[in-house]
Amino acid sequence: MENLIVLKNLNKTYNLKKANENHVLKDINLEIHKGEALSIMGVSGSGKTTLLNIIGCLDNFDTGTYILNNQDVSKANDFTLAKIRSNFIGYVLQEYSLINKQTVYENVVLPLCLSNKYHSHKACKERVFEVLKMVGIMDKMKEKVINLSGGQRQRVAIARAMINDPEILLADEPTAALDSNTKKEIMELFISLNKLGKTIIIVTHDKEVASYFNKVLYIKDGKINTNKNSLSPL
Amino acid sequence: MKRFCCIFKTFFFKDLLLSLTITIITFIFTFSFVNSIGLNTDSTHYDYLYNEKYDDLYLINSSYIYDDNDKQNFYIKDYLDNNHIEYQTIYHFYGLSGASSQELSFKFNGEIVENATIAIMDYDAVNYFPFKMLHGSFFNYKDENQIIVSNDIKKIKTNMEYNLSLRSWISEYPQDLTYLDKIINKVKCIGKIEEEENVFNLNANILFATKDKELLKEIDKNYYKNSEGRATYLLHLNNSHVIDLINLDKIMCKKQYDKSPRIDSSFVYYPTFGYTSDKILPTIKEDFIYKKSFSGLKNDPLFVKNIVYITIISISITFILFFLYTVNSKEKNRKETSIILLSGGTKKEIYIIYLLKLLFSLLSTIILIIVTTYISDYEQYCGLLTIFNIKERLYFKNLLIPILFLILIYLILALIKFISIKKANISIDLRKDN
Repeated sequence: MENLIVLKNLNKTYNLKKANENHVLKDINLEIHKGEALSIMGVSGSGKTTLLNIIGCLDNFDTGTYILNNQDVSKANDFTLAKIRSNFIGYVLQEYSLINKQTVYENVVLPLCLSNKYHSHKACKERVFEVLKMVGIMDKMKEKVINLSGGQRQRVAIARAMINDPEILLADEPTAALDSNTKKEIMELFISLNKLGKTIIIVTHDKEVASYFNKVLYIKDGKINTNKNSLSPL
Repeated sequence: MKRFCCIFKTFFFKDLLLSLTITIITFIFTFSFVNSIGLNTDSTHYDYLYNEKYDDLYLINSSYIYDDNDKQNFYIKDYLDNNHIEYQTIYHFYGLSGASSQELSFKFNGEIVENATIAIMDYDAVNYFPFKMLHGSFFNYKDENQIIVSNDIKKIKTNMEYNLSLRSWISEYPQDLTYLDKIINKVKCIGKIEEEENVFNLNANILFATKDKELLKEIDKNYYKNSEGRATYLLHLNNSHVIDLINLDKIMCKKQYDKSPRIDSSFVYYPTFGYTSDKILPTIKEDFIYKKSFSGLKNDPLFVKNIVYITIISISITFILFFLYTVNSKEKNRKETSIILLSGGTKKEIYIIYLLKLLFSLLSTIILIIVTTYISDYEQYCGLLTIFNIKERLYFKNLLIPILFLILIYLILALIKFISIKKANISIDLRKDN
């Protein structure tokens, strides 16, 4: 299978050369194939979110190489990284990260505007409607985010992440703030997106959430342990 | 470009509209408030008289005669009564003109005025209060044996072609003071005199006070009566404000008896300044002059209640509130920045867009201030013409202060915002959500 993400000897240290220096990722080597779905688990502070941020081009790293879709992004400038985020990567966070005072449409359409993929207002609107339909909240398009439930907000966040039809969907604890029924719905949504060919990487504490995917990466003390088909204790 | 528009529209446009809306609302509120309590520019110029006590009060205007058909109509007596200004007699002087004076015949018939204070006001000062009042246009003195000159005299002295400001004139022709002192007895104040085509323009910025019984003389018994039946005895001179100090030695006024049911009006006059050049100049202390010309204004509780002034202050306050709001919304700023980054924007774009927004907002506010001033100013003069008139540069200077203040606020806002943007970190800031 084609490698979509390749990390080689990747290291990340916070507060370098300070008293509180924290070597959070140590020689990470990782290959993720196109269309794969996997979860990353680990205790708090193990480096899983940092790893996800680096994969999502939101954070930089100190040493190593990161190849994304055959492109070395290790030394890419801000604008290139922004374009990569815009075109290749969708990001879903536990806290939704939506602008509450704005409508669902306004939240979802932002990455679309920044990507310049659609030039007419009508085309943008159609695309937003299409994605909202995919996540099951097309009737909420004109609602303000603040009026939505947690599950609906997370669907808006997923819709925003999917609006530019990215290759990769990254999610950091996407179900942590949701009840069990909503959690199940959201995870089924991720599965359905994976079936559409999207590469999905989820960071979670929740074994149940991790169990939705075949591949689970465990991070402990900044190092990865891969264990397929297993949900052994952390 | 589309990316810029998108970020601007999503994150800054509503804030911009909000700030402008609040500014306009503040302006309207202030405007209404000031008007509702009756503090318009027609009345404020008498504020310096608040709570004072006078035996005889002389109010002298160089402008048009007040009457019911005049838009500038303002009943001094009502104002004085409302402000607890006590007086025995009001002498109301209007329109000082050499040309008109020459047409009149004068008599010295022994009208007696005791403890009189005569104020000649600059009509410009009325309309531009408080700004033009800072010229020292008005002087109110109880002290005797003092000659007080407007602070503006210095400026006039250097600017005048013939270098014949009142002060320099005093310097050159000290005998005139002697003459004044002799004739008028005790001169209290002499104000600004300007020169115009070899004729001195008294421009009404002059005040005399005297106890001299020989100073004011009855010359006529014509009077003017307004529609309310209150006797308002005026001297009917034209409005050119010009007095030829060299060739004409007469200023006229008419006595007004507001507290007396019986009409007993009289014209009075006192001689002015013929001169020779061999007398000694009395000492004039600069510090005292300066202090006196401002003290009345600073102590006046109504001083700041000028519409233009308050409006500008209100706009400034609005933006101080926005400043506090911005300071308190650092997390929100960082979150919004993070969302833009998450959606494919860059920090550089955010910096540029915020800078543009800031400039636009600042320009809008400055324009609003100028428009505000223009509206307030329009009734009397031609608004902006006044602002950019060199002669009125003091006025414009005052306008600049709040504008500079606003620029300072915006600079601080920009600094705070830029720090927020610089520190924005998706993995940190977006975890503080909700």
